[in-house]
Amino acid sequence: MSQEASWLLPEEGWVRESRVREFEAFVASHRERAVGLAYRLLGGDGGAAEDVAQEAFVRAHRALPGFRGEAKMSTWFHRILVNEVRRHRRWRWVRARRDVPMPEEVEDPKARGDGDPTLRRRISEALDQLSRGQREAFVLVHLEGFRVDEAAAIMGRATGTAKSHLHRALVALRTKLRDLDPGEEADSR
Amino acid sequence: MTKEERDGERLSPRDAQFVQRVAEGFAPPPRSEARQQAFRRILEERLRRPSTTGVGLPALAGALAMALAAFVLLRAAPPAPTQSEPSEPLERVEAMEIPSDGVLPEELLVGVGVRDDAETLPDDYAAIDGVLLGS
Repeated sequence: MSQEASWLLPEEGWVRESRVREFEAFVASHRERAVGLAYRLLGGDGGAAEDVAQEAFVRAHRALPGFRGEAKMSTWFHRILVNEVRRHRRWRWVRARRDVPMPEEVEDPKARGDGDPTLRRRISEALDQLSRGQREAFVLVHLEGFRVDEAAAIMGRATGTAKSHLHRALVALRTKLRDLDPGEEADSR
Repeated sequence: MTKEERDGERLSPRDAQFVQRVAEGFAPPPRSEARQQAFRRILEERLRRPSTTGVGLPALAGALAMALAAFVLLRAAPPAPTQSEPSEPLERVEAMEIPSDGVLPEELLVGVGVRDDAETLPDDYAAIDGVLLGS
């Protein structure tokens, strides 16, 4: 990371060096994960996920002097990222309401992956029908592996509220994606 | 269903398997190396760029505040003493004699002389200058 790291220091001499180093290491190790989380929270829009992740890193960099280390840098950054996702979804919602055509998503043909595109779209639609809190709680805890209290801090909610969202999200998704439920498979046999 | 399972902190084996399937079915597609490098390059450029909102606005606000403070201080300060001619001593002014008919001596009318005005009059008026002034 040291080769990548030196680019922040000349501009930000007033930020303590250790914090800047920590942020640089964080950016290097969390770039791909941030894009992945944004991808899942944005319903599988790869281009938007990259834009949102970029914006979150830039905002976090600007806010770095105010970061006092009271929370983990991961929690602090992911809260910024989730806020950027919310902002993007609001923007997308407003554009859709005004019938403004959305910009075409530029898909990398080599990056389609091996997954089933139909299943991916169905999961995306099912997640989209959840409330914001349910969607965020489910993605953060079950798909990204955050603890419930970490997810609650990222969402800016009480832990109990996050648990409630999580439970309801699971119930709703099991209903919508019945064919993925192993219990349903057993019942139908 | 246990309390932990109800709270979502621990999943039942059935729920765990369901979540696993959702996670696999909705995994972000792997990004190509070129795309990752482009993302990294753009991000580094943006992070290197100096922030205009973070530093520029406080600096501008500070400069405005200093200018305002300087303006207020200059207005409130007493006028600085200047090197002007000493004023006429009061005793001397009082000692000056004013004619009893109220006509001021000519030396007090410097700069408002009648002749200067007459020189600027048109010829027609200059011709009757003497009549108007009774000379």
